[in-house]
Amino acid sequence: MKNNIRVERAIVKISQQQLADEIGVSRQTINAIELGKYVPSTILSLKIAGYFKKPVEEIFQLEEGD
Amino acid sequence: MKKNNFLLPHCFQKIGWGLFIFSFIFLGASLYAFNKLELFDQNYSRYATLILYLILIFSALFVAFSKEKIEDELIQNIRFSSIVITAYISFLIFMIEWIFFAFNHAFRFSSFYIDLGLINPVTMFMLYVVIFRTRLFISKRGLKNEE
Repeated sequence: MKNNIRVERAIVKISQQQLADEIGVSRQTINAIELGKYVPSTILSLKIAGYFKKPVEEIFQLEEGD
Repeated sequence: MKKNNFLLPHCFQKIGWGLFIFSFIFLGASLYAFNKLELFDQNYSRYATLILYLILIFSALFVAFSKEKIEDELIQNIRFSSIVITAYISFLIFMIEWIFFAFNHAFRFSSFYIDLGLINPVTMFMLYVVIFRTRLFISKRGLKNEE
């Protein structure tokens, strides 16, 4: 699964730490999601999308083979 | 939505480490004092060792299964896979130990009695702690080259 959290973060100009605090997870989790090492749960992806005020599909997309 | 993860509160971690170090040192010291130096009566030794061993097991449990400061889904993911790895390693050590013991017993290779009891609650919990902490550390180390 792909995501563009990094891009969205750059637009709003917040760090991984700020985003993590805002959503209530550790910075490692945000980092791992951005690097594609970890696929977040539905709850977490909805929270992230909610923070950027965008639909989930705009931030998370399926890749080939998913 | 909040789901129960059956973990102890975060403060148990510090209590656990404190008790673990305390009981570890005292258990070692008391075993030495009772068995080598024979300072006290053997009956006292049994009670003291039993109580210290109980504290050791409980503190190991506290350390292993208390929440992190921020217990999120990634950490739970690491926790789960660490438990699986611990189970495999424990099983392997147990089997090796058991095979050694059984062979020794069956063929009388030596009169030396091997029953190390390597896999017990304390070593299992501590093995899990080491695996979990190492993997947590690796995932934290990846943070430095970001942003």
